[in-house]
Amino acid sequence: MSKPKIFLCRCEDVTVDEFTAAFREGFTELESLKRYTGVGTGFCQGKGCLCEATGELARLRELEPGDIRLTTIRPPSEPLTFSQLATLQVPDPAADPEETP
Amino acid sequence: MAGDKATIRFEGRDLICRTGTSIATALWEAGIRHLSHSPKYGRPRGVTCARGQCTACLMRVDGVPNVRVCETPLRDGMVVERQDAGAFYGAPMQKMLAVGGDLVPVGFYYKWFTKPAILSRVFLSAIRPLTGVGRLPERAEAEAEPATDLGRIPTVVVGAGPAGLSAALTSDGPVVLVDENDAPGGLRLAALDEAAAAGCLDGFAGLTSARAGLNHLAEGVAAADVDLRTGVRVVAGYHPGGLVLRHGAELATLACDRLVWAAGALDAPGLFPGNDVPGVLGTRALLRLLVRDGLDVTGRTILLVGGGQDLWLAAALLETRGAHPSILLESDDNGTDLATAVARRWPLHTGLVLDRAHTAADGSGLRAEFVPGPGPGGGGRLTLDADLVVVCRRAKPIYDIPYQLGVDLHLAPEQGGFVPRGCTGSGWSTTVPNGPEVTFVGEAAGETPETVLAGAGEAS
Amino acid sequence: MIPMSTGPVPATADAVVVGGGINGLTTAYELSKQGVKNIVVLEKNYIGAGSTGRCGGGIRQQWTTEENIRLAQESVRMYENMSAELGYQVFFRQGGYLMVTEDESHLTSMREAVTLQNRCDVPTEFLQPEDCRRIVPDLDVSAIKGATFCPRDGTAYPFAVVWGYARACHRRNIAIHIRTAVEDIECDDGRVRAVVTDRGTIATPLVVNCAGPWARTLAAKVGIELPNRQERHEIMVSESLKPFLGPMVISISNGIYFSQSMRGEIVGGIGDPAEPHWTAPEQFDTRSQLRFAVRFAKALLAYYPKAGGVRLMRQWAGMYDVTPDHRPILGGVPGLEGYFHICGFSGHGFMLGPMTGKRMAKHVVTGERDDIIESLSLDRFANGDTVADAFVVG
Repeated sequence: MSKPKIFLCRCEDVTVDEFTAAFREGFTELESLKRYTGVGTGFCQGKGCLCEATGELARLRELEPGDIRLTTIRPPSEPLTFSQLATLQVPDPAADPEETP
Repeated sequence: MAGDKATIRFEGRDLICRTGTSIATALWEAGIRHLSHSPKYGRPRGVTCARGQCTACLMRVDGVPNVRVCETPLRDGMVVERQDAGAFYGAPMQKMLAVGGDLVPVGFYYKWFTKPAILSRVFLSAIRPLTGVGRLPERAEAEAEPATDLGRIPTVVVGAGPAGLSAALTSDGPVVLVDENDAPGGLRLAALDEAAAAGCLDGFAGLTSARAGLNHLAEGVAAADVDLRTGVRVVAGYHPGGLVLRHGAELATLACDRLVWAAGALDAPGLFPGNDVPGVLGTRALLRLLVRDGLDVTGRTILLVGGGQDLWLAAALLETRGAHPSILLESDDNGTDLATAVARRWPLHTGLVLDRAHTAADGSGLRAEFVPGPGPGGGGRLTLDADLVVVCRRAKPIYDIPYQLGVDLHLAPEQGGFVPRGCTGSGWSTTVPNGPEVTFVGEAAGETPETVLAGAGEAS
Repeated sequence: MIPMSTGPVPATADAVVVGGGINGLTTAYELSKQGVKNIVVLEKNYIGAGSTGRCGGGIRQQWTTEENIRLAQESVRMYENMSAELGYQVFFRQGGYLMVTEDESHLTSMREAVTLQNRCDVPTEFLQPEDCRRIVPDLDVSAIKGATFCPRDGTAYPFAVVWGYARACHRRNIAIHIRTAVEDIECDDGRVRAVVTDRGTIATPLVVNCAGPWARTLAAKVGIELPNRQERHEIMVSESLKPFLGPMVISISNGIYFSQSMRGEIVGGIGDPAEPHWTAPEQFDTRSQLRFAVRFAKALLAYYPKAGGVRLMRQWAGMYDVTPDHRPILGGVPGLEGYFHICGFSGHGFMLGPMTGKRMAKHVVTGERDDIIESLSLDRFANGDTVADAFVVG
């Protein structure tokens, strides 16, 4: 019988134990843990797990939670279909701050 | 119209459902709780966030994969299917992992079957057909109308709960107020009004006063020169101030000089064994299912675990709907609400905390197990059965759009989750370099529901 | 186990490699195989944080110059054996590359390229538009005028590659220091003496600059002016789906490319001629832009209409380190002993890195002449000895 599983990330099925094991393998930053375990890369884009994973990492690293470097939270916040995106006008290129007066 | 009937095709059988609700709610009412399978361990999953923001309810609807059925309105004739049982890893792998999961190291797919090169190639060809969730849509989408560009707007307030309504009323100049719900006041106002009309709010002083305040604010916004847009969610933010909004399937863009972030908070049931079992929800998800979908809970036992005003609100609304709320208070509560609950004869336990949840052996419902809490006066272990287990714990401020616009965040457990560095409470502002001013208010700024609702109460 | 130190750096080393991406890690690994002992890799962020971890993972042999074809061919051979070599699964899948064009004017050079590639034993074939559907059944070929397909091209998972190399480096006692930034390189008497970092100074006779988009700035510390410019390129990943797309599809006409990863996601990007060219790290802005998402969606649907109901999940940006002829810069510089650079891959570092790392390590240690390194030296720009490849896409 397996140990009961506590899910840190449900989209990618990452348990607290797996996250801890990945940390012990040398993945000591959220950015690396995210790529290695999949935490935060699922359909929810981290809404269900990023706070929890950050808290767990603070515990593992014995740091203040506020000192854990976050992963980049990328747009869009909720996945959009290519059809939806294609209805938008192509925005003008961003002005290069170097070139604007 | 609620009450009308529709027939949907679910995995080879016809289900007769009421319309005016989401697919997920219709399935729940038809006894179908298991909507998807988790990717690695193949565990059953069911409605969790009821807001289209998690993976748990992705199904294939009319040939389109990964549809969030928790917020997709039901239509007559829809064909609804669960997606591949062996998502990502394949059914045989899932069986192995489910049984021997503890023996399989994290990242095993990087470490096993790597050499010789021929074995690695065979391994990749073998797993390739097993990967992925959902099949490609069967056909191309029909061409949609071009999206609207709303142009540049001086002030955009996101969220028409108590904090957002107050902010919209006190802002200078033109204001656009967007909210993903159908009416201002958020889910809570509709719930409060319904419970009050049935007399179920009697005795809950805090909620009664919050209701008056919320109504006052909503009426104020209706009378003021505020451009209120309901059913609209902000779905992306791009530096230096571009927002993408979604209304149904339609997108719109706008740019803003000032963003008031009043988007509220996300349920955070927490980390415990069984936190992924279908039927384990947060408070907001429950309110959404009850208020938006009219989930039929008549005669059901709904276990509310945790504490706070939202727990009492959920209990009052459940009673209004003919359900049996059963309460387990994990934390201390003010005496008057507790006394009201006792007077209502709601089953009530204190001094314990949730230890784990699982599906009952006969599959009929859920079973939650509790252990003594850290405080004094705790009893022994306790097991309770219910149709839903709703965890009413400190929610997480919603943070994504401000971050995408360029606001730096950190984890602040005392504020429930991610908030800007230095954000000490409602009304905290920052200006993004070359971008908009962003002001955090209400639960999005890390306030508790109690503080926010008390603030609304003072408004009346 | 991949130990990555954030502690003080050692006082001395036989070689210091700057950059913890594909180039830095393969170079360190190959230097060790050439017998160099105390090697230190310095990464200012985390492993793969720069261009490697942000790339699309494509590896192709379809080029128009013989040199590029041969380099890519060597890399493909290395990728074919990489999982076994490293004992780490890098998910190299040879689904092929389908290169399409909407311009009649490309067809002649595409046919010539196929002939050249075939002469080099790269099994590319020229396809009429309707033949493309053999490879990608749902492709909309109405705008396509012609295509080439090489079944031996493929994709790998960039992070798995850098983790695999990092693990292999660790097994060879190479020290990897993350969150360690190089502040200066000390030289005197025409020799490299030490690397100064924010975690201490390392005395070393050998420095290899594998800093990708930051290579120009690092080279400037020893007085070398690289002609490299840096460009932002964006990329996106969709929700995961069951396999439906075999190859990487890439358009020479509008610069879109997309493939399906081993997790089932569509991974793809599109070049944007409006992107500015930067030369200093302070200018680098890798924030996402809506412009990219919309341009990509429109271009994708033109080629693959069935993807309309598929959702874009997230987008990100990385930097290309671009040279005037879009080919890398390899080798040392006259008058400064112990300094080498491996940079300027112009968006193709992931596909060429393993092979250039191997050649450079051998060249650095043995001092043997290497035709390819010679032809890709920095001198070529001063001598006007540059040949641009016509198939620079994305």
